[in-house]
Amino acid sequence: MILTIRRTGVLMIRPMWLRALLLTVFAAPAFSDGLLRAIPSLSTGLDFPTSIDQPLAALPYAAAVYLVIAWTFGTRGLTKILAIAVPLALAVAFAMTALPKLPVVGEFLLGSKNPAEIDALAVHQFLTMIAVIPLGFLIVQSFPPIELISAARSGRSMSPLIIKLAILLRMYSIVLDGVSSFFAAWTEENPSKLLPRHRKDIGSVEKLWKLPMWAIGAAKTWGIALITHAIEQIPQLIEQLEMSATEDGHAKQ
Amino acid sequence: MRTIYLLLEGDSLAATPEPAVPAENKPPHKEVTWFLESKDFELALDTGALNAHLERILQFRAGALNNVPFRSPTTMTGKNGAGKSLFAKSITGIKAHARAFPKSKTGPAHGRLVVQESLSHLFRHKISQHPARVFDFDQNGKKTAEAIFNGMSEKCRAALWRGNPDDPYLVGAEADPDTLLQAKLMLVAERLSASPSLLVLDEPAWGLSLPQAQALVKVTVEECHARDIPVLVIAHAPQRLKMQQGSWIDVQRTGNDISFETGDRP
Repeated sequence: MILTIRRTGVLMIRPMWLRALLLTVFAAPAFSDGLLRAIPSLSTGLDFPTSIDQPLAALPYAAAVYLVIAWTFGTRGLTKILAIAVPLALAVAFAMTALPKLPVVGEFLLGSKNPAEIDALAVHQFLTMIAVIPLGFLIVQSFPPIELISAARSGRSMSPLIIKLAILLRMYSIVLDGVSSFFAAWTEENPSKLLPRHRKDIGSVEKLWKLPMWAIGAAKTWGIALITHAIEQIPQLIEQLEMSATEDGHAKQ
Repeated sequence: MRTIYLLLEGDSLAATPEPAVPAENKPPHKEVTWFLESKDFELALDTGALNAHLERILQFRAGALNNVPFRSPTTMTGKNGAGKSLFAKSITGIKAHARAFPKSKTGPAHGRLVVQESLSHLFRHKISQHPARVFDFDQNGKKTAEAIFNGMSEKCRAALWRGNPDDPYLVGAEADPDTLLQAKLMLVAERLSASPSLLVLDEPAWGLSLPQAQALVKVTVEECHARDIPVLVIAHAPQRLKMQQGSWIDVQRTGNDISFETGDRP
C-alpha cells in the first residue's frame, strides 16, 4: 500500500528542518510569558497594565494559531481540535475558581492569595490553554511519521533519534485511533456518555456518591484501554521500522 | 494452557481438519418482525484524521426503508465501504443525530450493536469482568445477563461438541472465559438483558472459525426470538453463516450516495 501525505498549510514547508524551525519560532510566545506579554506593547507602541496585557496578547496569539491550523487541516480539523481544547480549558478554569470557594478546603487552597487573584489566574489559565493545546496538536500533526521515516531513509542510515521520534509520533496517532474506536464502543455502552446505561439501582439520593465513583471507574477504564492499546502496537511498529531499515541492505529513498 | 484462536472471516485452521458444520438453523417457531422509522439523513465518514479533505459527507437514502416490515433474522449485505457499519451505528444511537429508530414488540428505541472488532467493547478488560463493570448499578441486570450468557454458552458448546475436549472449535473454558466466541456471547447477553428493540451483529464471523460463527448466529437468533427481539446481521457472505431465512437489505454506494434495496427470502 502506498501512503502519501496530502500537503496543505504547514505541511507544504520543506525541508522538515525549516518547518521545525519556523514552528519553534511561532511557538516561542506560548512558552515564554514575557514574550507573550510583550506582544501588545511591541505591536502598538503603548504600555498596558500588567493585569490586561496577558489577555490582550493571548487572544490574538490564539487566533493566529487557529488560522494556521485552519490553513493546514481545514475548518473541520480546527473544530475537532477546539472540541478537545475548550472543554479542557473550561474544566480547569471552573475548578480553579470554584474549589477555593469551598468551606475549609477553600481556605487551604487559597493560601496567601485572595479570591480575586485566583479568578484572574483562572482567566489567564483558560486563555493560555485555548492557545497552547491547539498549538500542541498543530506541532505534533505537522510531522507525520511516514515523512520522518522517509526522510531518515534518504540518508546513509536511519538516525536512532529519528526512529525514536517516528515511533513516538506513530504511538500518538495510534492512541488517537484508539480514542475513536473506544468512543464508539463507549457511546454504544452508555448512550448519554456521562451516565451508565444500566443504572436501575441508583436512587436519587445515591446519585451523589455513586455517580462520582462510576466516573472514576470510567476514567480508569479509558486509561487502561488506551495504554494497553498503545503498548500492544509496539512490537509491530518496531518490526515495520526494522524492515524499512534493512530493505535492500541499507536505507534508501 | 488455553489458546485463543483468532481467524479472519473465511480463514480456517490450516492444520486442523474442518469439523462438521452445525445443522442449519430451522425456521423460528414464531415470526419476529421489525420496522424502521427513518428519513433520509447525512453522516460524515470520519476518517479520524485532522485533515478535512479526507472527510466525506455521505447521503443515506434511508427514507426508502421507512416502515418497511422486516422479518428477523434480517441480513444486511453490501460491498466494503458501502456504509453498512455506519448505518448500523445510526440505528443503534452511536450516530444519534441520524434519527433512525427500529420499532419492534420490545419498543421503539435505538437498537444495540456488537461491532465487528467486538473486543473494543471490553475496553481491554477480561470477559468475566464485563458484567461487573457494565452492571455496577443494576444487579438484577447483571444476574439476567450472566444467566443468558451461561445458557447461550451451553447451547454453543452443544452445537460445537465433537467428543474431543482439546478441540479448538470448542467454546472455551467455563470457569474463566477467554475466547473471542465467549466475548461475543457475553456482549450479546449484556445487550439482551435489557430487551432492546433490535440487536445488530456487525460481521459476527470476524475472528471466528466458520463453525463458531454459525453457532454464534444460530444461538443468538434463537435467544433473541425467544424474547421477541429481532436481529439484524451484517455480513459479506450471509449464506456461509447458514442463517434461517428472513428479510434482506442490500446497501449500495454510488459516490457519496447510499441507497438501499430490500426483499424477503422465499
